[in-house]
Amino acid sequence: MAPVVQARGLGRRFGKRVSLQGVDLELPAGEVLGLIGPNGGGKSTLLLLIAGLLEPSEGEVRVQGIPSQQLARQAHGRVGLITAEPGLYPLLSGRENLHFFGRLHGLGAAQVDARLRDIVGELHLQDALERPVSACSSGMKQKISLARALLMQPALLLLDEPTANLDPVSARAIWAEVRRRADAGLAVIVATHDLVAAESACDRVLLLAGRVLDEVRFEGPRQPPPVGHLFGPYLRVIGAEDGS
Amino acid sequence: MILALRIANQQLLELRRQPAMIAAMAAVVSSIAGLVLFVALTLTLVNSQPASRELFQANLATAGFGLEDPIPFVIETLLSSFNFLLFTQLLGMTAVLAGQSIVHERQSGTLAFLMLAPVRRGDVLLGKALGAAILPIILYGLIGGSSSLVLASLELTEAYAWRLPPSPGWLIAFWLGGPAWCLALAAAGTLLSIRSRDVRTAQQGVWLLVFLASTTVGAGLGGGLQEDAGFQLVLAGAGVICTLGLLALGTLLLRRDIHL
Repeated sequence: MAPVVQARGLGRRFGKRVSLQGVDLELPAGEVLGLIGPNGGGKSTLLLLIAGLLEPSEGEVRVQGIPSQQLARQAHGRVGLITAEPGLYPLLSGRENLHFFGRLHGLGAAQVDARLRDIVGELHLQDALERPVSACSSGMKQKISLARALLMQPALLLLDEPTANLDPVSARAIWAEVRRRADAGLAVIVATHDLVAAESACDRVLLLAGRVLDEVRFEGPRQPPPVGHLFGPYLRVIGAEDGS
Repeated sequence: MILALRIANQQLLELRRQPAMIAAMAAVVSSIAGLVLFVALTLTLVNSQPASRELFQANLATAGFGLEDPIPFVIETLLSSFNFLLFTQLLGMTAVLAGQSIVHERQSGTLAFLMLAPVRRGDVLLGKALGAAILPIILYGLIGGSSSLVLASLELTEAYAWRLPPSPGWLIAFWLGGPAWCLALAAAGTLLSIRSRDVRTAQQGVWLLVFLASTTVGAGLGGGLQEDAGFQLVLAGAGVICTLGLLALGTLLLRRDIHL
């Protein structure tokens, strides 16, 4: 089966500064690839290059055979993106945001609602959907952002530090959903500073610092990051024993 | 085009969630219209009574305006100021809204998601320009249009009917020239917004844009009412051409590469 992502000699400079160079990459469906490395190491740059939101200075990257620069025109939502900042209109409700982006991707209003019914239940978003985004917690905003990506039924999900600034419950929910989707066949690339989560949930990890320094593949079943001894008492404190 | 309208609608939805801003915009147009109507109605009252008329003339002479018949002069000045202010405020409000549009997308982090969608850059720009122009045009049409009709119904303004509805010049300037240049300013503001990295840069650019537009187009639309309808038609056509040119330029400047 052809890989979902194929990159050859991929690199990007910002002025004279080289952010990333010489990245070769293949990612099959159903695999979660972690990107770890220091700040400025090129993790976000790599994700944006794959999404077609940055032009490569060298090399090329294709998603399902489509050059990244043509993704927006040809792939119609086959790439879902989640950034550390949720990227939502703060004065609109979650539902209005999701409808707007869904309609931009060519979905009808009824189609958006139908797809949302499943996603909202899975992400426990019922309460947050009708509120203005500005009144939602960081965790809820990130879940709405995840819902937007899933709404387009992508073949590839790109996550840039999706759990930064999230409480443990929200972070675990995001990781669990990502892992569940990957097990169902979604290709995922996630940039993170959470080494424990990367080791637990990713099938493979690239260590990036301007280029790929190392690659680690993990064996055995993958799962959301371990919760530790404090997770139970934490859930009791916030009154969310069911993890919602 | 449908996607451009969706983007414009999203922008309008955001504006509707900020009633204080809409109120401020309405207050600007209402203040201009209210002040002009107040002066015009007062002058009508003064003109209807010979004693008041003589007193008004004497007071103006004392103030250094020794005109033989000052009321027509005041009315003409009032009407030209009204049209000038109406057009320049329309252009200014639009430029301010448009100047923030792409910067707002950058700061909200939504620009990446717009660029990820299968939307042509031209549609993004057109949507942003329309979204910035619609609300000012509605306020200007409702408040400016209705107050112009009231002014046209006054006996004192009969001699200046060419400055008011339903003169062909006014109709073209108000319903074609104004909206056309409003869209041009919206396109120019959006262009500025593309090149601005933060709100302050955008605001300074908008300030310059409003100054240039007021002294040229605003004066042309308001002052140009002395010319025949053909002049206003040419001015409106220039507004349409300018809008299309700026949108075309914008599609070159707005890149899917969100760093550029």
